[in-house]
Amino acid sequence: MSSSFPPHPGAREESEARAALVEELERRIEEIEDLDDSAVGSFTSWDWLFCVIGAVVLPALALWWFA
Amino acid sequence: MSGVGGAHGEGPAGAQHEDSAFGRLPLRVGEREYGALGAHTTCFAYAIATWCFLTGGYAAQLVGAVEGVVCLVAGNLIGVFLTTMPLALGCQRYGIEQMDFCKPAFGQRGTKILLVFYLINMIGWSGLILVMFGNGIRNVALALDFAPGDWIVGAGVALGLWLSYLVATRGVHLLNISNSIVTPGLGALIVFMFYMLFRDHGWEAIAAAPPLDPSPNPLTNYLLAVELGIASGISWWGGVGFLARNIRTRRSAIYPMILQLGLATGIVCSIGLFSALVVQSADPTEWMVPLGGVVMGVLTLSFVALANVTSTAVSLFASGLALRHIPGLRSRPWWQLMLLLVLPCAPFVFWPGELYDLGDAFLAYNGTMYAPISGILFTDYFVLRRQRLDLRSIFEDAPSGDYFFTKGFNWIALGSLVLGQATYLFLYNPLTGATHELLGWMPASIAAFAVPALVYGVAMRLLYGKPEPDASYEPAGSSATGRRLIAPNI
Repeated sequence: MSSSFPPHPGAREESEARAALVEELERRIEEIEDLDDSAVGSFTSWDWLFCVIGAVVLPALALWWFA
Repeated sequence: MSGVGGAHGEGPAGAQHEDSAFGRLPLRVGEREYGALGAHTTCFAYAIATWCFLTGGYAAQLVGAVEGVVCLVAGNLIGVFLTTMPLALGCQRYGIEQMDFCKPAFGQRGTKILLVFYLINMIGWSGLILVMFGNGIRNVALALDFAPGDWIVGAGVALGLWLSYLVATRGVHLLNISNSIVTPGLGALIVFMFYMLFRDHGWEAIAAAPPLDPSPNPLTNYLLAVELGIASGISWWGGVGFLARNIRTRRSAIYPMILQLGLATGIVCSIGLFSALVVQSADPTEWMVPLGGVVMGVLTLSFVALANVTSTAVSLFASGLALRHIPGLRSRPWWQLMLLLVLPCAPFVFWPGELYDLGDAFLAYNGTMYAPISGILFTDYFVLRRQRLDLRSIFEDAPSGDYFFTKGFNWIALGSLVLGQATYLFLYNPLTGATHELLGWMPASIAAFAVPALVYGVAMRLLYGKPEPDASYEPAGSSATGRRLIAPNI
């Protein structure tokens, strides 16, 4: 038996807004997953090496030296 | 990007923009606020907040200037590296905020456990630096020959909360503008403090100043100062994801964090250390007037207070995004979320001194919590998932999602987290001050990072095997199309 009561107008608007939000989320997921890595910039092995030496190896040596 | 001002705006485009700016929708590259310069200035503004002075003050209790600089700068760099690499690269690649980034490791519901600790962290930091804001106002009044009662500190906290709320409700763009005004002024004032320290006292006096409250064993003091530096760097965990998702390129997501949150924070902490040693007080708001005189002291305090408001606003903003994970709050207006975050800070208005004195215990809590989480995320993102996430599963609450694990919890990650905390406390219990002799071989934060990282990696490989080339591990450009979200968690 179907309900004879019409849906609450506020509830309907909320449900439509939610559907639009999920739709937008789906669109963004597709877009971002399909995005080539180069579109968000590169971070190469040289960058890694530079960061490891500058932020781990040299600081660790300094800490060891002054201990 | 039109800025968040337009986000309040008109029509579907405005509404969508508001969703991505104030909600959890993954941000497109074109929507992101920060280029290299914006990332540097924002990270720098974050870095020179008064919590650095607080850390410098704590270090001054243990070690002198030379050892303190090494511990704070080197420790911060190491800590920031460990916590930043997976979070910044992952959140920047997919435009997601950090609680979403934690889901592949901890599971849909497991992440909510982290959310509680994350919110306590953000609210605690906000409260502490707003008490310093209130202390600053009191010291400005004292410097100007007023004699306010203790009530002024609580009133200052209330004022700081209100200003932070105003900034946070007006969005990232206003934060960016506010940073671009405050940052240069604060940078100049820190250089000025540095100059005054060396002009009036000189390096020899600074280097010769004794620590404020050291223990009898110098090696233990050094090791604890190292620990303080690393834990301080790892504590940035709470802000990294929010910043990274708003950054356009990978290099801009990493280098500003390492240079500003790591190096600059270490340097500013060191200026705090020098000031504390020279003035022989660990309270940062008591340094400015003795160092700079009344006029410059008041100016310095005022700028630091402004920076505190900006930092608190950023914390509120990031916490607001995190609150979007709670189903009942997903569709609430942004201002209501901000209000919800401001309210728990109310005790700082009424008991500022009492809560400020608990700062030590609070810093300890940060170290025990974030080092293991960082280790687990490091292994998960770089070793297990090879920097490939299934964005769809992050937003999928249905049990068929890749990151649902067992009833929404990845017990391996959560167990590793507890193991990491136990490791930290075994080596160093910050509440009692007890240390184990193994601390001399490895700082507690590093051990609490490495042990869970290793255990998590091995256990995941044993239980789940080598990742199959399914959607989670597909290269970019080959995502499975046609899959629809069953129970979207947005």
